[in-house]
Amino acid sequence: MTLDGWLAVLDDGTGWAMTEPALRSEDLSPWQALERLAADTGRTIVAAAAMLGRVAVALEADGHRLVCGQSLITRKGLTAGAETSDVRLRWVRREEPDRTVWRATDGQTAWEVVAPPGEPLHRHLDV
Amino acid sequence: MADSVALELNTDEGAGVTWNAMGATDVLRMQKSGAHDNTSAGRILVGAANGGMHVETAAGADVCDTAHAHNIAYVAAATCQIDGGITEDVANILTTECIRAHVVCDPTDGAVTAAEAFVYGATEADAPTGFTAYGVKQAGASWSNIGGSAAALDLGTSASAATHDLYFAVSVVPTARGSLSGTLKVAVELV
Repeated sequence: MTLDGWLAVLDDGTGWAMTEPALRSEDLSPWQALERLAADTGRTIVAAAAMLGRVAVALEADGHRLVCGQSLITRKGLTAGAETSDVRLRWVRREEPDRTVWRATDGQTAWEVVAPPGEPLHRHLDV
Repeated sequence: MADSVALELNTDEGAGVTWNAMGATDVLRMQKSGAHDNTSAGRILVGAANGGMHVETAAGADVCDTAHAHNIAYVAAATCQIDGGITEDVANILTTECIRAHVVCDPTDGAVTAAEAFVYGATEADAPTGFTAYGVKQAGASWSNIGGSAAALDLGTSASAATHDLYFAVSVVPTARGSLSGTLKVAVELV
């Protein structure tokens, strides 16, 4: 069985999946809809996991904002022989004031990356 | 299906002019003006910008048929030549003249929270050797040097949707003679 998506837990113990019908929205992605739902009901996201292929990565909030998402990366050579590739990563990140902790997977390998706030994950992974 | 990003060009591969995605191993051949030419005769002169851009297979064949990819050439910080035409403002570049990063979100919609493009050489942090790579987002007012990850061109953000289209142009200006190499990287962050 292969996986592709994310799961999150709110501080009341409820679990939410990316494909939950209640998170379908005209103007928000499922993760954005979950963040709004949590804020509107006075709850917080306390843990999240991202899954791809046979790999899952997870983080606990520890009082900080969690975000689940993806990085889509494509490389094209400007001449024959240059590097050409397509990569998709699923990740969860914890946004701390002075750093961002990422846990990511391409479906085969898992990584933890600690980067300055605001820097994209792909600049810190050789994939 | 899963979320994906594809680089597309408005070309005719035999079925009329439309957006065509580059194949997995295709390359963007930057050359001087004229017919597709990946020999030394097609090389761009030092100090000049690309006069032609072709989608080429890994085997060196031109993918285009009757209509080739549009060519956007750097002239100065705020100007360009489109398909060898007059010198004009880069802000005039149309979406159909750009490279399009086409993002498909499936099975759920996604919001683009970051997107960037750059050209690199030996490593992603390094600008390519022997040429300057310029990039501009469609409707942008000026080119910027997009050599190396730290100089990446910001392609912007967009609200949640099933698809997203990010338009930009790339031009190269050799600073040295020889067979030059570089890689265009486009990265899109979805939430």
